[in-house]
This record gives sequence, C-alpha cells and structure tokens, in this order.
Amino acid sequence: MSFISLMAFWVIMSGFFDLIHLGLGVLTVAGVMYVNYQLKMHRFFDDDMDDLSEVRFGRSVYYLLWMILQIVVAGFHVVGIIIRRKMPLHTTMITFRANLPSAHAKMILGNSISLTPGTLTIDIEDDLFIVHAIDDKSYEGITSDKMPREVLKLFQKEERQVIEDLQIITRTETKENK
Amino acid sequence: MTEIQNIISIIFVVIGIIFMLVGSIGIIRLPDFYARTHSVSKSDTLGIIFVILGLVIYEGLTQSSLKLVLIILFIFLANPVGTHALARAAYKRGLNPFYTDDEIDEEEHK
Repeated sequence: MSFISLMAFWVIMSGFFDLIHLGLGVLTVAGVMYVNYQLKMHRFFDDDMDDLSEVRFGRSVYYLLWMILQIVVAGFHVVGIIIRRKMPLHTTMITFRANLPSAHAKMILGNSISLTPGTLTIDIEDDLFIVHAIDDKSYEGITSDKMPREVLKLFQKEERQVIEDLQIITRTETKENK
Repeated sequence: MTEIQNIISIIFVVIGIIFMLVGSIGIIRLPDFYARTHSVSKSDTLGIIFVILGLVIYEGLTQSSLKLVLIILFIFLANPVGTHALARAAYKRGLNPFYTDDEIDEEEHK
C-alpha cells in the first residue's frame, strides 16, 4: 500500500517512464520504507493503529466533498466578518467530550474543526476537546452535532449522539469559577 | 476553449488573492492571538488553495497540474496541524483568550 503510493508520487514528480528512472524510483522507495519501518512499528499510544480497514471508503469520498463545501462556505463567512466595519465578533471557547471509537476518528474530527474557518482546535485531552470559535455561527456545526456525526459515520453505520458535556464559555469569569 | 479556461482560472486566482488580502487585514484588525490565528491560517490557506486551483485549470491536465494538486493536498494536511500546534502552545503557556463579552461587561460597569 505505502509502496504503491510512494511509487505513484515518484512517477508524478519525475515524469519519466524509462527503465533507469523507474529503477532509481524503486530503489529510493525501498530505502524510504526501510528507514521508516521502525517508526511505523512504534506505538505512541495504545490504540495507535496504522491501517485504513476501518474506514468506509464510499463514505470518505462523500465526507471529503462535504468538508470542502463547509470550508468554502465558512471561509466566505469569516471574510464577511473581517471586512465588515463593526466586526461582529463573539469569541468563545467550547469544551466538549466526543464519544468516538478510535484515536484516528478524534484526529479526523480535530483536523476538520481546525480546517473549517472560524473554529480552531486548541487541545485534545483523551476525549475532551477545547475549541476556540470566532463567532456564534462558526461553532453551530459542532454544537448541533453535525460534524462529529459525519466523522462517526466514517467508521460505523449506527447513528448516535457523539457530543457530551457541552460547555460554551464566553467570559473570563466563568472560567475562573470552574 | 482556451479563452474559457483562462477566464475561469483568472476568476479563481482573483478570489484567492482577495482571500489572502482579507487574511492580512484580519491580522491587524482582530483583537487577540487566537482570533488572529484564525485569520492567518484559514483565510490564507483558502487563498492559496484558490490560487493553485486557478493555476491547475490554466495548466490543463499535465504533469505540472498533478504536482499542483499534490501541493494542495499537502497544504490541506499541514495547515490544521501547524495551527493546532501554535494554539496549543499558547494555551499551555496560559494565554487567556480575549472574550468580546468581557468588553461588553466592562462598558456596563462604567
């Protein structure tokens, strides 16, 4: 799997199909795989796994397209906020627990949140996500459980509530009281 | 055919430049570190992606356009990681975010 993708990368980068270039490519890819073997076998934490078999591929294509749409829509929204004269900001911190099956799912959710303009994953501790949002409309997708549900659908067929313990912090005081 | 291609690619590049311009304005206008991170990373990345998409359309289906698509992919992967690292470092150092509601409260107290 990684050999095929690395080889495809080599061919795209070189653009030659003759024997010498392809042979050099095979040698290089073998070297890279040899160097990376230790790293791949190393487990940084318990459910750190390196296979894609749990992802449903049809779903992931849909997820990618949906994600791109979200990014573009939210991007225009953020641009609208910045160039407006009054700047209708409402900066908030959101914390919530996400009930997701694996570390990969959490990673995908965190990356998706960061990639969508207007929201930014600050920290993930076990299940606890800390997210910074620039205004109310930006975090709607997370609090309404839409985006976490899409991530869950990548891995499992069932639909359920993913988010628990949702907290929206809008003032410094409330944080000190906690 | 090439005319339409040119027009579409110019539109994409212009949209991308607008995004980058707004991102730069955002760095100056927004109040604190976290909000500025939004404008730098998000608007700028979207801008870069739009510019590169425009170049892909301009180029057509060739080897260089494939390389450009790879660049988009890597920006897509690297951007959230970089942003997350920055924000997390700031958060761990104890930088409190600026809340707009705090400002409203202060005005009420005056």
